[in-house]
Amino acid sequence: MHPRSITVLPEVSRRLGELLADKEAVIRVLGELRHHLQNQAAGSRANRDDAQPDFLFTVPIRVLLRGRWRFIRFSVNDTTSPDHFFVEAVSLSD
Amino acid sequence: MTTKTHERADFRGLRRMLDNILRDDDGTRGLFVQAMGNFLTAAGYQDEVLVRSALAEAKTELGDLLVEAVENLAKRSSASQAMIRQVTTKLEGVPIEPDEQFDELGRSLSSVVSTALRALYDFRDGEIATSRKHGVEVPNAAKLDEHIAHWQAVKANLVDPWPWSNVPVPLPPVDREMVARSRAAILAGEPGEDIDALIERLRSE
Repeated sequence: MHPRSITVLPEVSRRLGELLADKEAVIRVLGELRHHLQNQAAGSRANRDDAQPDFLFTVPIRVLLRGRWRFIRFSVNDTTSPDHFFVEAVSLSD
Repeated sequence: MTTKTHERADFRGLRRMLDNILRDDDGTRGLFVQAMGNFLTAAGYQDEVLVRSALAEAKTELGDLLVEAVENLAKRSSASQAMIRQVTTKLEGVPIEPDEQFDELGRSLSSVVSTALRALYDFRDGEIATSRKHGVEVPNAAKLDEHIAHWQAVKANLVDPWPWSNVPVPLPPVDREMVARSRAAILAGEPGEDIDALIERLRSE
């Protein structure tokens, strides 16, 4: 099966940069997100969003930032297009 | 864990380093016993004036020994903190997919932090508190509180929220407004950037 392309919405990439405040960390986290979506998509897609299960699933990523464990949540749309994963939102634990 | 092979090797090295910290010991109790011995020797005299003088001298000596013991404890605590910084520097910004090996690193780290905290609490609330109650001043005792505060922060930020492989991730809530704006952008034909191109762009900036 042809792999879906992964598209990151502009607000998500901007927000991720603001949240992590470290370009290298942003690149690593995006690489990890890509790894999840390319190699573990079936498992990730089973983790459906509570409010919009028909549209979104969640990819969680754990990362140490400035000596503190933080948890990143990506919300990915796998329904709007059969050929794409659209990364629609990102949030970070306090 | 999805990190690369060479990073796995680093984690094993980090764990060995943490385990070595736990093998160290300090001789502060020996110093305390020595000071108490001096006091008991002085107390053996029958002359009240001499006993008081010997007691004052023993208190001063005990205070000096406790000051030195605080310095030794603080030095060991600082050395352990430096080791912890090496560990966190290696982990900083690296996404983690927890597994048994990473759990072992977490257990070693947890042991180092709890051992350091226990040593500081025991000395502050034991020897230092008892000595103060009997009029022995330890001018640098506040250093213990500074080190305790540091280790408490490490425990709160690094150890307590450790991403154990068998514990669910405490995820933040979804930003629903961002979802709505992103969905509108997709429908308006402004879908964003391919992730490969985005990563390459960031690398080249």
